[in-house]
Amino acid sequence: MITGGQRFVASPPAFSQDGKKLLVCTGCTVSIYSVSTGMQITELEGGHTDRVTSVVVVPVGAPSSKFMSYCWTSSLDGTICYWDFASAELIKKVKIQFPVHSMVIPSLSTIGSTEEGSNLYAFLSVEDINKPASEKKALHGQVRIYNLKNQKPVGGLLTETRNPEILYASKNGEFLGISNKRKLHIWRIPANNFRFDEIKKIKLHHTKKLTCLAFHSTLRMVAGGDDTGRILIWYNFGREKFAQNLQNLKGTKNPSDEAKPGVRNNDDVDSCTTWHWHPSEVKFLHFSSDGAYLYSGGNEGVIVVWQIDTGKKKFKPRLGSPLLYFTESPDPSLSCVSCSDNHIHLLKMPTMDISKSISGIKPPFSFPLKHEGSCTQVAFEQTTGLVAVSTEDYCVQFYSLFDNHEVSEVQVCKRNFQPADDVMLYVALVAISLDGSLMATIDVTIPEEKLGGLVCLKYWTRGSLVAEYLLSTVIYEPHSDAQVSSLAFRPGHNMAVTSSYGGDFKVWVHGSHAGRNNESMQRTGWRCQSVGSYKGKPLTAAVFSADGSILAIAAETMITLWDPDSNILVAMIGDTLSPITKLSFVGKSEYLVSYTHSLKPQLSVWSTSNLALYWSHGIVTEAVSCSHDESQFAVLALLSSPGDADAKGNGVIFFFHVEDPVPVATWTVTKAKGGSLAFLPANPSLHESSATNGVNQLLLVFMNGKHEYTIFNPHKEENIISKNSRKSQAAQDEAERLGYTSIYGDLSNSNAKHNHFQEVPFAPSERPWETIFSGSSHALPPLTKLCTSFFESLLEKRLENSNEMIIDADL
Amino acid sequence: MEKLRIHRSRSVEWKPSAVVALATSADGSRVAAAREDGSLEIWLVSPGSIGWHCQLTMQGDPSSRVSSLLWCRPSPRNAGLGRLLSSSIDGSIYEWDLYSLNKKVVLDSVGVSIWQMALEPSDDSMHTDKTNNEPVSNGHSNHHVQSDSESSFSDNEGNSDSDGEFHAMTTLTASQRLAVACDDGCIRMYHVFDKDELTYNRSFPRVSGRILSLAWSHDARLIFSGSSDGLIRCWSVASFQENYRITVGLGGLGSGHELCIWSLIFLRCGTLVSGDSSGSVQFWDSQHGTLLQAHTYHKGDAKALTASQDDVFSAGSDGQVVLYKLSKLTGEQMVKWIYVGYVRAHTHDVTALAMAKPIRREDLFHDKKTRKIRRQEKPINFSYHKWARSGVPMLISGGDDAKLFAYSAKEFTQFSPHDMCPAPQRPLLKLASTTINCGVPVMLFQSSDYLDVLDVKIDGKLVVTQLLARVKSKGSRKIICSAISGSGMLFAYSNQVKPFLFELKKPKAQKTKWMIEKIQLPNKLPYAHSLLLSADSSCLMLAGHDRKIYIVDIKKSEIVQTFVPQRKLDRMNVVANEPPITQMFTSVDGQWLAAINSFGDIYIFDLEIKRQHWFVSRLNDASVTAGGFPPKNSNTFVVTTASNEIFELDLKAKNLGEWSKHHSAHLPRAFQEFPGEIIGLSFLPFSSSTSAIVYSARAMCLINFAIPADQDMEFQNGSDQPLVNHDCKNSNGAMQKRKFQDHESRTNGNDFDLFVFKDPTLFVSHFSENSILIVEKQWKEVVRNFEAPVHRHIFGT
Repeated sequence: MITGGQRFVASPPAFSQDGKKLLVCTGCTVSIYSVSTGMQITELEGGHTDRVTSVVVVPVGAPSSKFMSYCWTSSLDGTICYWDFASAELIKKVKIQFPVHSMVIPSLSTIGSTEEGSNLYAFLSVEDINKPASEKKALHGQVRIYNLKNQKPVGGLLTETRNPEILYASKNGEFLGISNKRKLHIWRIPANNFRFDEIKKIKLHHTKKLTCLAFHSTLRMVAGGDDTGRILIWYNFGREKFAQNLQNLKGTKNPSDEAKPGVRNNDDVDSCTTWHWHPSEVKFLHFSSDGAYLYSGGNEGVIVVWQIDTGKKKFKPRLGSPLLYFTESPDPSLSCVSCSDNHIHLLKMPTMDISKSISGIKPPFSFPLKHEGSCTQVAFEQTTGLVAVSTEDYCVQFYSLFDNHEVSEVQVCKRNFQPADDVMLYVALVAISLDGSLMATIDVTIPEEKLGGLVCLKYWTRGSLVAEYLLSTVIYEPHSDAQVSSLAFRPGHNMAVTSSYGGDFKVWVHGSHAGRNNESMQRTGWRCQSVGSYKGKPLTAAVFSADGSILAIAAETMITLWDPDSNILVAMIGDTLSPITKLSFVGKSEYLVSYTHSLKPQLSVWSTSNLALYWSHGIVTEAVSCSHDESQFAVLALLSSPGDADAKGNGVIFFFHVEDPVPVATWTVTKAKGGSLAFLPANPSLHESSATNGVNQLLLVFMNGKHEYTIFNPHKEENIISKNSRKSQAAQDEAERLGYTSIYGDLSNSNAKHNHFQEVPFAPSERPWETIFSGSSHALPPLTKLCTSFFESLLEKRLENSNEMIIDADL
Repeated sequence: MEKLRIHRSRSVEWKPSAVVALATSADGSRVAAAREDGSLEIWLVSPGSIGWHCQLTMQGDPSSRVSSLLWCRPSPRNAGLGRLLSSSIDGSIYEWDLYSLNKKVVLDSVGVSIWQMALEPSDDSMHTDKTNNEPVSNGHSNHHVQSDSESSFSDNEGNSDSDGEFHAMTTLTASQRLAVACDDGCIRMYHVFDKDELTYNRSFPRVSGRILSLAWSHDARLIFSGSSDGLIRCWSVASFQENYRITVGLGGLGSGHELCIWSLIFLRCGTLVSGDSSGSVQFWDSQHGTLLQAHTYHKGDAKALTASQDDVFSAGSDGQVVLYKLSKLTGEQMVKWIYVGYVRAHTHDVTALAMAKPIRREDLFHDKKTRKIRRQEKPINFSYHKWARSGVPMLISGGDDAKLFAYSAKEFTQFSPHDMCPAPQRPLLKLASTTINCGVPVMLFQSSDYLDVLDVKIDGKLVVTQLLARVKSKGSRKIICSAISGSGMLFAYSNQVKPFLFELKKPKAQKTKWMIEKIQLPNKLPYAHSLLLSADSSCLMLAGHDRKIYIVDIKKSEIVQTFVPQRKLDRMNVVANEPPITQMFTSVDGQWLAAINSFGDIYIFDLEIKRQHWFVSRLNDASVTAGGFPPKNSNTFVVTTASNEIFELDLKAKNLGEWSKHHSAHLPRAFQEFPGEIIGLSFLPFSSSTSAIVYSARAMCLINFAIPADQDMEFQNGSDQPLVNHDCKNSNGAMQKRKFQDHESRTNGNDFDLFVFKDPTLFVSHFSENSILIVEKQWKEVVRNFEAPVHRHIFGT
């Protein structure tokens, strides 16, 4: 069993102390990525059973401990773990009992190494689970202190908030802050071995809801961002309250007499500056390590760099997605920004060029309300184990399910994506042929004031690389202005069908098939071969049989069977209660599965031989997947009715044999709403065990509504019997995979690297030889000079490679 | 009486002109504002009140545009406000005499334009021991206003001997040195004495470029000049030589094109601040000429700078006023000037800034007894009252949109600025309600250089005004004052040369055309500060600039009587040395003439016995904003003062009237917080009613002098006040102020019912018994007349 597709940007990532690794919270695990390649190195597994919420890397104290790589992680399961992340070993586990939403360990920066430090205090933002969630006004969030050394809580609560808030600590660990509605709470933490009552607190007020804050690295300065886009900078906060001793205070003049420009409620600050550039909520603020700049970002996907002294701004635009976090590495030339499209961009610092991107599967987006019905965001490419996800920025992302990383991205519409704008254009349907050589997409432009609406069908052919698709044909308005309801390829042929709610379906063929008289037409791609309709009814679903001989089209409640070549109506089957949403042939068998989505949900199996209903269930079906060879299929069913506003969306996967209305196996899953299912052939390289078992090589993929997925073998008995919930399955099977990856997992990655270097001997990230020889010839230095630098650059890279190889071998 | 019908007219022309310079008087209580059309206004906060009001308006010459204003320090021998000087583009320096209301040349043109004047700062050690015996300053003048780009260093008087020469005490105080920045690249130095013209001292070496800004160092040893070629030069006053120069352009910028240093100020801590045409405000170490800090927050030119303690304000052509504050960060030893925030009140360029400190002698209304009634929404933003207190430094800004705004200097970002003049340069209007013109009322409209006579017809709800006649002032001289007779037949005006009287006639031959006939006036008549035609149109009353009041019989064209206003009535035939009369009112029966001088003293003359009857000195030290005799009771005179108080004077008894005795001391709080300065008073004509409408540019209010305005007043049914909405009268009876939700559906109710205008109102008058005329103009339309602002940032472009 493989899980993947986790959100990389649910929590801020952390850099390792040498700045060469990035620790990313990925669901229940922490994935460690190499900064130079952007590939995953290893994963910290087995410690947490719920989402990891924060990672704190232990800084390097003495030079001798330079190779120490320890980190603390906190999780919603109420535990804090201590890891050696170089070897991916869990060292210590501390139980907190409350779900931890955020953790900072301010004293780490002062103590340095934890081992000789006396006490290690973690400040936790926890959720009070004793209070019922129904109480909206109850204070569910708490800030607590926990002594990680003796694993005991310290003192009482620092504060209580409506919801658990993110904790921010200053770089030197002196100050700690949270934003609580329209206030900032700031605590000053004494150096070490403090008593609880020595912690002092101030509040800073604002008139808008504050969303984030940041402490200056050296000065006593704090910046807060609000949900209207304003940035407030408070200078000299806590001069009275945080004064070291009262004697000092008396010597100075009484500050309360002074004017405090911009300060509200007589807060304990000298002055407050307001900057306003962002049009909407500020998502992150970050002071640069030298303290001269402030980075801010928000929904519009632009990093703004403020020069603090002068207020001048620089911009890093076109990140293409709302920004969430900004993290600086110990290496001043590197930082990373987390975008809400599940990407983490590594930035080369002064210029802020994206050097590498760690890309997760892009999250689902919401279609415009009235277009929801006919859209599928996910298509599976079954031969190579890829999933094609249509994304908000008009792309189709190909994501490797087995390797859990992005393979490629195909831009469907040539239009720049603006994160803040309304949805005016979206990719509605994606279909990939069985062998993966063809792709078809439907993109819809929403009419503005009833003008400019366009439906566009595009056919793509695969290029030389995996998941590289080239546009072959664009067909504007395939069904005039009617919405396309489904799109399917005919297995084994260069043929596709589109059906529309306008009442007709069209069979499309590739030019090479039909171009008889005109040779040049042959290569120009796809054209419409035939058009059909059935009693003018809206056609809601279309599918080819597995051998491609029959085309089944649902005309609302009727299923019609056609000969795709001659376009002759062969037969009609039965009558469902409500319009059919989806049709599917079960493997090579004579059976056909359909389900309807309306108020009377129904899952039906039809026999094409005697043209009758075989059996049916009244369950809410979200997705159906049929294996191509066997007469088995899997159904994803929701536990709630479609009208029910059950937010949880728990569901069940039924595994049916077509002959038998009693499911062979069932699994319960969460977040089933918007989920999808697919059978995939097991990749022999990854799943030798299942291949050698020889029983069945098909694996089932379940992708939930958040684009997190699980791959498992539906035939394995122990899965079915022992585990009924996905979560507990995860625990067991992850352990299996841990064992595997501990031996082979890294190797496969480094294998990839090796292959890479062998094929293209000088392909490291920077390519100096490309620039060395560029330029006009008269301006170029003599060849002798160039050659040496060229070879030097090669030598350097080789050296690095060999170093890495050595390290890999050590591991 | 039913509801009052309101008739609105919006057809008047109203073109206020931009504020070009501001200057604060030495004590910080008064602000002089020069406008583009050459006129000058004196704004002050009258004692007991907190709102700014325009005390004086002096007309000037529109051809000589004022480039800077400067208020000299008063010398000990000549206590008062000090001399108010203005430099003009044509190169001359004028003095504005606030006592005699005229303008005189103190320096003939130097041939080139003068861009700025800067007065030598006083020595700290000297002024501290002088503050004690100086009556005007309120004891807090030793730290308030530091300096202002447009004004002087308004510390106290006293001179320094910084250039090493020894001066005797007498010579020290006798003259102050004035540095003048000239267009030819020369700084010229003059001596300013208590009287008379400026005397030339010396010129600094001439440099390239124009000198646009000047600042003295606090010890008066150095002068800094900013010029149009992007350089700040530091000059030694002793040697008249250049010490060093600073290139202002950031990082070599500004060397190619011209960078203008619009403004320079020198702070007490030795920091020099410059504002330039690139919008940067930069802080310099004045010792070494090194840059401390640079802020570029203005999107247009940074035009003006001013400072108060640790705060520096800058204003720019983008309409913003930006605050910078000195901050000592705990992490660093260095102090820093940090940007705090901005306020954008002006729609157009801000051209001038000044710090002022209004003086309030007594806190009259600080009793918190009256409780506030909470309302759904406030009719007008009253936040000004939250921060405006006596002794609180205020920042005043004036700009191209003709407006003046007051900001709290200490809590700059907390409170929204206060619009000091909702109706700047309000054209004066007078209404003659019964006329020869078939009873159609006639309105007299006084613009800066012409007079319009309009007839006012009511067409349903609309008010139609039609121009009957227009009289242009000869040589386009500015009209100082005008008057129209009650019949609308006669009207008069005076410019700075002489008064004129006209008669409006309808010739028999032509039915439609109106004729204007000039009526000869006696030759001896001087030009007037105030004119008045008697109720029966028989005589013209004229308050001349020679401080005498002349009564002229129009028929005979001769001076019937000459009054000399006096403080003490017993002395006979003394010289006229009282301040000039600026307002006059006469009773309907023609017995009384009330003349009010520019400071608010009231002289009452009995025209029957041809003697001065009474002298009333300033009421609560506030100047008079409006006055009038009720039509039925000529023996009472009602005045409103700048501190928003109303007094009813009983002329026979030479005392406050009954109503005033009871209520003037404790008017409802709502009235004290009357939005805006009261600019007028209107009585119901021909009725026995004793109620009057008091109005400002933002609101009006009905006051009945017959009914006691007790705080717990019981409404009498026997009065002539009708009760519309009796049930919604305040049952607790605490205060009779209500907001009118809708303009048209206003209830006519109690005393002190406040009626808030949407648009700036120029004139309110009773039309007939139950209708009033409101002349207003939407500010939007007024703004349309202005030139487009230099910088206008539109979001998203």
